Amino acid sequence: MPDSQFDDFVGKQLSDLSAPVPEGLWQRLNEQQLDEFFREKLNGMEAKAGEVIWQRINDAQLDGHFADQLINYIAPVPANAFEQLEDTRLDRFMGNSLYDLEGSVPAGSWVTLAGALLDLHAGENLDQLAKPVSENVWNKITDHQFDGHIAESLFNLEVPVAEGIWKKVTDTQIDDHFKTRLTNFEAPVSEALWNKVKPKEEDDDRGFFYWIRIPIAAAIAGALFIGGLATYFFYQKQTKDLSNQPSVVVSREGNAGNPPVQENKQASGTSRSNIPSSTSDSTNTDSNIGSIKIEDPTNNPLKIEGSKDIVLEHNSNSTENKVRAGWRRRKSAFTVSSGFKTDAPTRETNRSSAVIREYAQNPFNSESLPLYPEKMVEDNQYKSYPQGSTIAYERNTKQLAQEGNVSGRKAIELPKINCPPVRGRNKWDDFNKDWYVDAYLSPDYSFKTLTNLTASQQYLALKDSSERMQVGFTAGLRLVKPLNDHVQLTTGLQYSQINQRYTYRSENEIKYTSIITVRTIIRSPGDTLIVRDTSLLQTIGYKNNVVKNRFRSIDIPVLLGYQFGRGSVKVGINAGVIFNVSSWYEGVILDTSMAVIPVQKGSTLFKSKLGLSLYTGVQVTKELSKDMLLFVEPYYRHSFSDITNTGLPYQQKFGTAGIMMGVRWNMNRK
Amino acid sequence: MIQHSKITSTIAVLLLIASCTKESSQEFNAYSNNPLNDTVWATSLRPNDAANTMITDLMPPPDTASIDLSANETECKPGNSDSLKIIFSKGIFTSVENGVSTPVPPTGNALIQVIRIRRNGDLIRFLRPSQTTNSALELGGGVFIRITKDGKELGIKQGENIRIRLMETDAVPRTDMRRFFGTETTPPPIFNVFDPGFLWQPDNDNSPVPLFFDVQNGRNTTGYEIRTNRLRWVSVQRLLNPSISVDRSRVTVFLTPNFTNKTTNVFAVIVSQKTVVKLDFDYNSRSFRTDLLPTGAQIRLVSVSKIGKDFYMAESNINRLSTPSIIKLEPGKVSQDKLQTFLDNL
Repeated sequence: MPDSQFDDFVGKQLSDLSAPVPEGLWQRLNEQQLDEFFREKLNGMEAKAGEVIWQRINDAQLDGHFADQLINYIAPVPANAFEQLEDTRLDRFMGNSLYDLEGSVPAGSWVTLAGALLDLHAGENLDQLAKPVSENVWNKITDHQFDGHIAESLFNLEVPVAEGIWKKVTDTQIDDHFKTRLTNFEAPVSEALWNKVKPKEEDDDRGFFYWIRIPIAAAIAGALFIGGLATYFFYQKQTKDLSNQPSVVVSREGNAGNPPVQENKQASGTSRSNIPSSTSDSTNTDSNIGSIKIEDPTNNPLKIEGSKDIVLEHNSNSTENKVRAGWRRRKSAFTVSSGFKTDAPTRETNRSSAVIREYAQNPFNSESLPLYPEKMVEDNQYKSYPQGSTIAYERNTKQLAQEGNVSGRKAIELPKINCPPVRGRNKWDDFNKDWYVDAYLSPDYSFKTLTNLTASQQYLALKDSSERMQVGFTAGLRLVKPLNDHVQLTTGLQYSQINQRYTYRSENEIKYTSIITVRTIIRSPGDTLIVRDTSLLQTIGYKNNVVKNRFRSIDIPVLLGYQFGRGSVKVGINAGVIFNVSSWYEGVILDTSMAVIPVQKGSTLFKSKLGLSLYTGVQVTKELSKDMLLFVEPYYRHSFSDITNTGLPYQQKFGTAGIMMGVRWNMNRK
Repeated sequence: MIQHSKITSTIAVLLLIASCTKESSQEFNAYSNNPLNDTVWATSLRPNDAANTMITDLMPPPDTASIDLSANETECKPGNSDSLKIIFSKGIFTSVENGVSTPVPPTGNALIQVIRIRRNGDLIRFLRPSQTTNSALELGGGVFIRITKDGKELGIKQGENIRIRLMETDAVPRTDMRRFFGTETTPPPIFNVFDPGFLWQPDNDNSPVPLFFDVQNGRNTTGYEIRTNRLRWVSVQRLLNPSISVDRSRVTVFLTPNFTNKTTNVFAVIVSQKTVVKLDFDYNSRSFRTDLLPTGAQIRLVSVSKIGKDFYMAESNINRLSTPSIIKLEPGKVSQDKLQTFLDNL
């Protein structure tokens, strides 16, 4: 008998049999064997759990059991269960469960869907779907959506212009269109252009006048200021000249609904062929989205670049007129090739696109042509905004200049083009008509020459040991007149100061120091008083005095120079005489008793006029710009005259060497 | 171009700054050995401290005269002034060597040197203030008499006297004056040297100094006639406040730090009488003070300093001394002539 039969027999016969386990048998079974037995025998058995058992099962065990057993269990939903579910829970369940499910939409469901939901659904799912659009769908598509679609779909699309459209567009309408677009238009001038027109303002302002805060530099600042004034007048003159030249002018007279007639009347009243066909030089080419190009029967193209690339080409020799229209979604800048550029708000783009759509539906109805300029302005109230584009300028177009000189309009000034001078044939033309102004400063070192008259050797020795020459300076302004390319004449006014350090020792000097003393004074037995007193403590000693002697002078140099070299760096020599206008001395000197005495300005011990000095120097110039150059000029100045009068036991004069550094401005550069 | 301008202006300003050195300077160096810079007080004075040696500068030269020691009676008028007469008899002098009289009397001519003490300023000049150990004195008049023979100073024999007639025109002689002699260190120093041992002491004869009456140039004159067997510092004075029961008040004086006890003497002068009290220095408080001044007196405080070769002086007044007073004096430099004039008029 197989084991299975035996087991079945025993199972049937002994299933309800309960027999005691023999003594010692339980002890022979280990727990593992017992667990194995129950797992095999009781697996899959269903039995009613007793009340006590349910209480022993905790919630986590029960949840784990159902999670394992019922994960894929499908059961019918009891009646009324759906009504008890919240909508959000149901939606979330549907969203998760039915996301990829495809099924037919029940009748009437479309009606309950909101239009926006449908659009969103269609936009995402039907983008590439090509199907005929029903009437209701068109009604639900907004203009904006339609415009965007058209802009993407019809970009660069070219279609023929219907016959008669051009005939319905009059010249004045075209003119008014552009006039309306360009009226009140103001375009910013580029930073680079302003820098060329006004090179010494703003940043230069603070840097230049900063040094005026320093008293010592006031003189130099003044010199530079004079130079700046010269430069200012120079540019003023330049600006004035420029303002008299032709310019393109638009103004804000009239409004969009009433296009100004009188403005640019001369230009608009003439043939469109008078409008220059210059090209746009906008600094931001990305903003030049599209273009409108109109060619009149005289084949003078009028090209408009704008957000809507619409090109109307009318050729009297051609029977076929074409309209090329295009949109780009992001940009709405509107530029004119003559250099003006406007921004048209996005809303206006929608409107115009709607008109185009109308035209597309009825291309031969000229009344609905969206390019009718006056209508566009009236309807849309286009506004113009500067976009930083530059305005090219036709320098030699006199007629345009006259057109531009309309009062109330802003003149757009352009940098001058500096042409090289044209040499004449006569000698006067060869004469250099430039004038230069130099502002310079020179650190100087002077050498004294002493001649003894009646001084003792001890006096001279003491004087010599007490005095030491120091660095002085010369500063001035001078006018330079180049006679030709090489020879130049120079004169001006300069201030020189020779510094001398004078050291001497003065004895028995009293120095006062404020000190506080504290004393405990017994006024009487048992009466003690603390006295605090502030007193001046005298200290006697000697002082090592250092005094600065100054020999000052105001001079007029008269120099003749020769300059050679090419390029921005030139080398030259200057030589001539320096006339002393005034000189004076301040400081201390030794008197005949070896005592140090002060000498004030105006003392008769020193001369007030020193006469002539010889001057020679080597000049190196470096051109910084067309109007300014930097120069360095090492020089030596020899004085023929003594600075001392006969009241002193010696005579003294100076020779001075220095390195002149300065700036030279061209005063009449054109 | 803007950059170029900045560079150019910067270079120019730097050059200017470089060319402009310091305007002038004065470096002070104190003398290391100059007494003006010495602000240290001494616990005890030395004879060569300026406070003591200033007497040499301030004391005038003595009036001198030659006397005949062989004459029976000699009336000497040093300085040819009628206000002082010294009368002595023959054979009263003796030579003094090391404080001991020699047995052989001097003969022949001798040299007499006389310095009068007539004003408050004299008491200051000579550094012989009118005070005893415990009391201030009022001076009637005084004289320094020194007689030398062959360079040796003479004394008066025991039991012999000389007569000194002092006449002061600026004050009426008082009848309550006493004889005061200056005690000195032994051997006594030269008169124009500070003597730390000097002190006015009353004579043993405590009787009032008699007055003399005379007619000079047709005018009645009066003065003190002093009979004494002492030479050198002889004076007519009286105790201003003989008893400590007399109310006194302490006067304390301090000066600016440059003036120390080594260089400065401070005196209190009672106005309208010839009384000068020298203030003692108090090292601890760096001040000068005295307890000899009577309350109710009008006091002039005078400091005389000598620093190096320069004299400094300061004065201050106490209109009516009533309570202990603390006075600050700030001496200023003064010429010696001006100082002498000030002392003459004090």
